[in-house]
Amino acid sequence: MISETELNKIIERINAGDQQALDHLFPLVYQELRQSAHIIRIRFRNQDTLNTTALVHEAYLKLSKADLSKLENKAHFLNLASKAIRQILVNACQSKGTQKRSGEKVQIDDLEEQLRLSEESKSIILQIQDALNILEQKQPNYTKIVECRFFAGLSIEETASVVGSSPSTVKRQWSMAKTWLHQQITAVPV
Amino acid sequence: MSDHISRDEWIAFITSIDANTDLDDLLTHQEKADDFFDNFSKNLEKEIADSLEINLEPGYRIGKYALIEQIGKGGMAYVYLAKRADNLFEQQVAIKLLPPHNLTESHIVHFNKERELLANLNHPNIGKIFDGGITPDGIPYIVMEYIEGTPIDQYCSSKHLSIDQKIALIIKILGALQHVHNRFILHRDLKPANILITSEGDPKIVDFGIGQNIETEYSASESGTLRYMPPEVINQKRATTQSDLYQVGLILFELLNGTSPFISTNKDDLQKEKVNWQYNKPSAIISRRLNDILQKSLEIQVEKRYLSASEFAQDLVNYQTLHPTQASEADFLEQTILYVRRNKVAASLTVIILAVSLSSAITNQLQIQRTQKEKAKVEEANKFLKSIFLANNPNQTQLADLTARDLLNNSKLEIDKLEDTEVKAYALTQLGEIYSEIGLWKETKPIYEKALFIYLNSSESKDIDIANGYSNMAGYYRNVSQYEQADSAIDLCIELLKQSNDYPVALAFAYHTKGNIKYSLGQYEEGKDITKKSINLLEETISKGIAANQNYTEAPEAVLAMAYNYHSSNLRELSEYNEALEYAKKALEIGLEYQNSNIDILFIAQNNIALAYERLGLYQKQIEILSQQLTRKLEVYEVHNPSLMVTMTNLGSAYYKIENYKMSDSLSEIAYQTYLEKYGPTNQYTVSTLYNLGNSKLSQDKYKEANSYFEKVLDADMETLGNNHPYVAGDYVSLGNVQFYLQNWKEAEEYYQNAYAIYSKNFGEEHQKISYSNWLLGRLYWEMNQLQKSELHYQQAIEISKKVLGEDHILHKNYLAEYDSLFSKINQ
Repeated sequence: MISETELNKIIERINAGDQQALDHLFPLVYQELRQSAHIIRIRFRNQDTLNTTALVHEAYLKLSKADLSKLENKAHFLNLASKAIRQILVNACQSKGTQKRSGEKVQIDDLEEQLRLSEESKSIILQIQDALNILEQKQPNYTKIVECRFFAGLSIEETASVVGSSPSTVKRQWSMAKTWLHQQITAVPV
Repeated sequence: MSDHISRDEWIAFITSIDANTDLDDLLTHQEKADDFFDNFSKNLEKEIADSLEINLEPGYRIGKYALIEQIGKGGMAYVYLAKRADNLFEQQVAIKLLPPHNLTESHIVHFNKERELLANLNHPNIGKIFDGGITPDGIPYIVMEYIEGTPIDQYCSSKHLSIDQKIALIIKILGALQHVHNRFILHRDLKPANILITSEGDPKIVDFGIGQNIETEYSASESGTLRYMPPEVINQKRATTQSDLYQVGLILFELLNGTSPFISTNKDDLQKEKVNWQYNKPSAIISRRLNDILQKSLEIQVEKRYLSASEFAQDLVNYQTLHPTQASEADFLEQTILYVRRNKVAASLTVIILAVSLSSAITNQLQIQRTQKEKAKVEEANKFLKSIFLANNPNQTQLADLTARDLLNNSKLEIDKLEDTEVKAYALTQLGEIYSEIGLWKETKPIYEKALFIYLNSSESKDIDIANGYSNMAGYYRNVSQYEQADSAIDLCIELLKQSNDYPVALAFAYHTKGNIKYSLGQYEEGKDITKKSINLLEETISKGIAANQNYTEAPEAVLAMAYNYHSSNLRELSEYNEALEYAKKALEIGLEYQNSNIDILFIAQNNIALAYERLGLYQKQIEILSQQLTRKLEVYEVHNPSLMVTMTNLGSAYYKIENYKMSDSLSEIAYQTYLEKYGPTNQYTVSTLYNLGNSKLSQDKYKEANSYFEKVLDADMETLGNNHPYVAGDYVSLGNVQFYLQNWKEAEEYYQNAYAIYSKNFGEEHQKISYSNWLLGRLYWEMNQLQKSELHYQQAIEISKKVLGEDHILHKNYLAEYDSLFSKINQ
């Protein structure tokens, strides 16, 4: 756990423009998202979509009121959150034997434990993950866009604020990233 | 920059990743990629949403039960089908869980409160609650009866139910709803989906998911389906019991018309339409009277709707049984037409039971408010409940009666659970009074006995409580025609009350009760004395301005009016007709004043006036006042009400006096059948009507029929009244008359002599009955050609009637005229 003074220092550095410092906040955001499955159930039960977007925004609401209250730029949070969501989904696809036996205690908080995706979805997400690992090394910006748009379901504008470019650039880059990802995951294995 | 991606851009992008990539191949993926990600995102979203719902696996244990499958899912709760895990026996239940996303403190409090409230519900038309608790995971749950049923709308259309069958279902639902409302619970989301009909055809109200304590503040966002939402709820006003009734009205409307009255398709329009929608276009499919009922239940203004579920149900019953409905405000003509029609269909009517569990509401109240200080409040509440139960709609008597019978055991069991003996005795007394007021006299005995027993054995009892216990026992014995016992019981009551001056009204009440018992025993002198005592005590008390001890008796004026009435009865039987008339008129005056709180005073006064007129030979006046009474009673009572029958009987005998036998017979016949069914063959009411019928048949020369009626009457009277009661004498007279007309002189003589002996034993030699008996004998001996005997009896008849009836009395004149015509020639 990060202490409060430590947290404040990190946020000060982020607010001052230190992008490196952002990484220190990742565990906090990741943990919050992981454990906030119940929150989206409460707030969004009456909505048609119960999705990761809702989760991200809900987590932001909560964190910005407490831990991240001094964070000046929401984009920093969205950046971390979209990465965290990617991590959560990938973990959910990789974890084995999470199926609860009858009568066992129901974990209601842990999102990774709760997500029960179809085998097909798991396979696609893991393929996307593999492809993104390649893309990340060459074009980290494109990867960030995929994290924002696909994993976190953020809007073009929000994504633009995270990557620091114009919405139309984000649109074009998102389109190119999608196209490349599609080619990668539909490619016949050699 | 535009959204278009230039070829250069593509090349820059692709070479940065892998210089060997074939761009043309890549571009073939562009369109497919869009579709792929759109679809995949959607699927993923759904899978995430699904997995975030609570999903308990089959076999998951909750208490004694193992889940089978999820059968319902709402915002507030999930419902699972489950069975007993121990397989001890086959039992399927529904388990309602508060889902994890609702595991907030306020939700848990609400859920537990709901469980507590629902646990109090016990009604055949409401899904039962068996159990409840919290799972090891901290999830609150309720175990409920699993109802395999069809929503009411689907059921009605698939079974092609008739209008009457649909109404019958709604009546049962309203009965259940009254049960719910009695416990201060609202349903708030009544709609066809929440009313299931079982394979046996019984409706069951389910899903009290948003049912809340009436006191809880209403929150629109959490309440039911808009289509069935009442206008006041849309307007963010507090939901009341009438809001539930509106929903039932709407369901009934849809069942009858096959369609919703609303035309809007989107939410905002529907809200606007509903808030302003006034039911005013009678449907062509259903009758005007039914339309009126629907209109009343669907009023926009809450206060114009039915007050309670029972009232609504009662109007539906009235509609079905051709009684006037409240909604139609039937005028007299319509009432009369309905009255005639319903008697024709009476035999085929379905008996509908409305369960209005009043007594348990009393008991609960008492349990809550134990302290002496609060007791007065409780009593007020009970009076209020009683007034709703009994007075609010007197047409309800018959239904309440059936209900009360059904719930008797339950109520007694509930009262037995009470630990505080004083409270227990009090609750028993209340229950007994309710039964008594609706004419279920037999049932009151064990209740009153138990109450009295408790009071007698408790060191904390006050004299007035014990006295009240005795008085109730006396009332019971009087009601079941066991007058000797009644007399002993009321004596015990009087003894106790005389020991202090604290309860003058209660004492006066006991006096007039005794006066009435004496009257029933034929001991009119004693009756007259003691009712006078009651009158004196009350007039004195009232002049001193002493208020009644409200907990134990009625207003002193009301008690006084009854004392006048009973006094009048005794005077009448003592042939003091003018005084009898005078006191009856005094009673009438007070009765008119009190007719809203106690209409019996008025009715008994009218009876006494009518009877005095009868004895005075003023039959037309008698018919006049009895007709007035019958009209009023038809407004107030349902057809089987005993009080209504009294008037019919009396009017029947008045018509008999003026020789209108057709009217007389039909009125008596209705009354007789009703009494027989309700009270059995030896009850005084049953016997009186039988007697009237006998007389009527006799007058129509139907001797055989008359004789059989009179024999039954004699048997019953001797059984209940003993061998020397004046009524028994009257029976001998009647049997003698039959033999007289059959010219069986010897038999007639024997009967007449028996009667004479009883009358003189009871009344001495100066009484109207003695003059009458003399006339009978005089007439008989004339026919037997024993002229000397005949003349003697005629002369005595004339002499006594002159003394007790006066020279202008029709009987006296008749005797005189007959004597003159018979003996003038001989004496000449």
